[in-house]
Parts: sequence; C-alpha cells; structure tokens
Amino acid sequence: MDIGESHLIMAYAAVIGIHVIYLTWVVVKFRRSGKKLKPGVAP
Amino acid sequence: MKLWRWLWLAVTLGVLAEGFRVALFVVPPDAAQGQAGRIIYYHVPTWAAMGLMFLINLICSLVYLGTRNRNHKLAMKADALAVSSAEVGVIFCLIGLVTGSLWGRAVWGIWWTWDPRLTSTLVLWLIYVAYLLLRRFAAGPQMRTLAAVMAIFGYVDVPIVYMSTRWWRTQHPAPVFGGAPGAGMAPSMMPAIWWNLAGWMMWAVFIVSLRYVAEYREQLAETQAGLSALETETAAVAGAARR
Repeated sequence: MDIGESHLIMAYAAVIGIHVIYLTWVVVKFRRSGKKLKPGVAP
Repeated sequence: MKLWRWLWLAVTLGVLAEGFRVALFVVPPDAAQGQAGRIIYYHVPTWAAMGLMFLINLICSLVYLGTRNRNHKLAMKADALAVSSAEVGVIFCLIGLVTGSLWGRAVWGIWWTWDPRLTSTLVLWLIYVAYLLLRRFAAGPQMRTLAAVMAIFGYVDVPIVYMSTRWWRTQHPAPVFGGAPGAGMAPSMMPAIWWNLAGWMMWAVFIVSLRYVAEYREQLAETQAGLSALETETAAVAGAARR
C-alpha cells in the first residue's frame, strides 16, 4: 500500500464517519421533536 | 418519515454508490498524485454542497429579516431552514477541511499550510460554528435577528474562499471549474466528479430536509409551551379577580 492509498482510505473513513455520526444525531433529533408536539400539530 | 423522503434517500444512495464505483474503479489514477488524487472526487463535491447550504442560509436569513414583523409563520420557517442549512454546511466544510488535509499530507507532505485558500476556508468554518453557538447559547427574542445579521456578514467569506485561488498566488491547486484555459481536470476524470457532485448535493438536500422538520417542530413545541403557560397564567389571574 503506497502513501496515497492509505490517505485515500483515511479520507473515505472521514467522509463516511462524519456523515454517519451527524446523520445519527439528526435522526435522533427528528424523532424526539415529533414527540414534543401536541397531537394534531405537524409541519 | 414521508414516502418522498424514503424515495429521495434510495435514489441518493444509488447515485452515491455509482459515484463510489466510478471514482474508485473506473477513472484512472492521477499520473502525478497516484491514488491520493481520488480524494478530489469527494473534496470538490463537498465544497459545492457547502456552498449551496451557505447560500440557502443567506437567503433564509434575508427572508427572516424581511418578514419577521409581517408574516410570523414564514419568518419562523425561514429561520428553521437557515439554522438547518448552516449546520449541514458546517459538516460539509469540516469534511472538506479534513479531506483536503489528508490530500495535502499525501501530495505536499504537510497536513496544513497558511495558504489564502486554506486560511479563508478555516475562517469560514469558524464563522458558521460561531453562528451555531450564538443560536445555541444566546437567549431572548433578539437571538434570531442577531443570527440572521451574522449570517449575512458571514456569507461575505464565501466568495473570498471561491476567488482566493484566482486573486492570490496559492499553494492550493488551480480551480477545477472556471479556471484559466487548460487548467482543471482531464475529461476522463470528470464522470467521477459529476456522479459525486450529484450524489452529495442530493444527500445535502435530504439531510437538511430532516433537520429542518426537527427544527420547525421544536419551534412549534416552544410556541405551544408558551401559549399553554400564558393560558394557565390568564386563568389564574381571572380566578383571583373573581375571588
């Protein structure tokens, strides 16, 4: 594995890792926000 | 989650998978940079998605300032979209900085240099992080107005970042799009850029739509809580007056 290949793998890990962490946080926020509303009110 | 959002997600993941395949297995490795050159297929689309998000943030901030005293509902929706797009933009900006740093380490031999493009981008990231911190920790009715004004001034750095490689001599490579004649990428590499550009733009729209709904629901819940507290207080005052 050359130096470029290892950096490419690290870049893939960073892209996927950051997006997965953020997506998880957004989904949790999305689900919690639905429970905060009174019934019958939905955007 | 609504059906259209599931469909959008399915198409987005399909486009991203094709982008991954083309970037890794179809286009040839860069003659000078080797495998590290493939980082650009994520680096460039990330910046494009970030630019779109910060542009949405700017437009929504202007709409909020223009409508906050006339159309409360529209203003709150614009504000919810402004904060959502800023947040997603910050995530894309972070990924752009990280992938750029990894590419720099492989090709230049250094993680970071205080080059105008890199420095102006770091400043941009810090501006929008500050915007999000302001929204998170400032309280009171003026918070949204202050944040909208900050977003408008913050956006000034976006064209500076874009033009930095044209205005100054930088270590950062020449622009891929709209650069000097002969600059940019070889046509054989462009499919990887196009697929990833489409995929990450679609991903940005998907994630910002989820985040927007969450933000708007929280605003509605806050309004409901405020109205309930007001009703309780009004009933208590009326009860006291009758006694």
